[in-house]
Amino acid sequence: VPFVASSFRTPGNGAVTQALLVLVNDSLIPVYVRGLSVVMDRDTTTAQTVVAAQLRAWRTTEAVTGGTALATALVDTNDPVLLSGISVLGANASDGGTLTNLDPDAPGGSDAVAGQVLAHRMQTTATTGGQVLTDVHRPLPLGLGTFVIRPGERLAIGVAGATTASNPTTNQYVVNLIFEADSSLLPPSDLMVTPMSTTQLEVSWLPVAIATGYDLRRDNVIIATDYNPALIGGRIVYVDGGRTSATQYTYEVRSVQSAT
Amino acid sequence: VPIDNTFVASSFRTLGTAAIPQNIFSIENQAGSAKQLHIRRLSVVMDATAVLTAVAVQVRTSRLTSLPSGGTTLTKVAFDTGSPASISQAVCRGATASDGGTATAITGTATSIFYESLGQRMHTAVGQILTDLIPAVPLYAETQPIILRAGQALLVQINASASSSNAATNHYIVNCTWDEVS
Repeated sequence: VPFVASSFRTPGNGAVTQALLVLVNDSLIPVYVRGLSVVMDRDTTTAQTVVAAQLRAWRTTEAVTGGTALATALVDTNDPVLLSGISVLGANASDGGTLTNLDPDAPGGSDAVAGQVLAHRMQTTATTGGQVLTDVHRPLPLGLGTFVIRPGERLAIGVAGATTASNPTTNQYVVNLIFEADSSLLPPSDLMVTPMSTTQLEVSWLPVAIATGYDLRRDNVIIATDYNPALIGGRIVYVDGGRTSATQYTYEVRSVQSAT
Repeated sequence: VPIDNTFVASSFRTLGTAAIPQNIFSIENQAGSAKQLHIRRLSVVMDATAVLTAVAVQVRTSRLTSLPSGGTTLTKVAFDTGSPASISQAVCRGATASDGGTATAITGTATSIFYESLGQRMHTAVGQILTDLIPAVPLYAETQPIILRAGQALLVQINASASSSNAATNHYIVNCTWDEVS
């Protein structure tokens, strides 16, 4: 299921490092990054004679602080909604608005840059006339493979590596992100019922990756809701007591997922 | 072709050395490797903050007569951490260990030119500066990759007609994407 997210117009922070957008995956499924672009303008007539801003993307497992949750839009509104645990954070909550210190703002620990480009700049002070071109910068080499953000991982996009003067507050960035997450909830499989005694039946099934629990019915009457015990031998197990010997029972189990 | 995983490496921002040629990036598949490296994209992005009235620098890619040495080993990033990790024999080298930092020279002798582009320059210190990706291998490689077998390497160099074309006010970043194939 594809989703799109777009940051608000984000001013530079006048520092060497600044996070512009972070994709957080705290769900149980992988997220596939399909598109990432940064467009920028320099809203000033003042020259920037130092090197252009370095726009970079990196994968990290660092905790994320600050930032503002951005809306994630479905490409098709008939598709399932985004799973809980997957979110996109931006550096501010309105176009040109106050920055919220989104962190991580640079690769740390064993993180490494997965791609980077140099943005554009203006060598001389503009006084009269002239066209200002904004370009689309693509810091990740997408299209050559599937860039995957696994559970517990984050994808960060930001400015780093140049100078403070490369990232003045008059720089304006917009980040667009396209990603896919499989929101479809599969049914449990391999349902088995095993007699334990004359009054007890063991009902078990294989777990579903993104399920948060299971609803279990006996003879079309629900007997467990959002049931999610620890696995036993790799299976979900429910012991149904108080049964009558030599009686036939029918069981049905459904996967449950709490969606945002 | 069974692709085990795709990887990317990005150099630190590397300053010109006012000398030519300057080796700015290499990727090698060392002897004993059981896999091939399929180079899909190799590109340079550059900015230049000083006027250059001579011809722009040439970004030149070559195979090497022998494996490179020296430089700074760059960290490889997997497209998918759930797929096999990069082999130890796949090594990317950069020419500095930090953005805009001191040079750490890559040693390697290029063979005949594999692919070449011209970088950007500023003829007069006027106007808006746009940076663009400079391909260091043919775009054709995205569908028909350049193969590095065990013991082979690619080297990206900055070259020019004059060393002044490669001023310390030039800034280079190299990005490389490759598949590892069993």
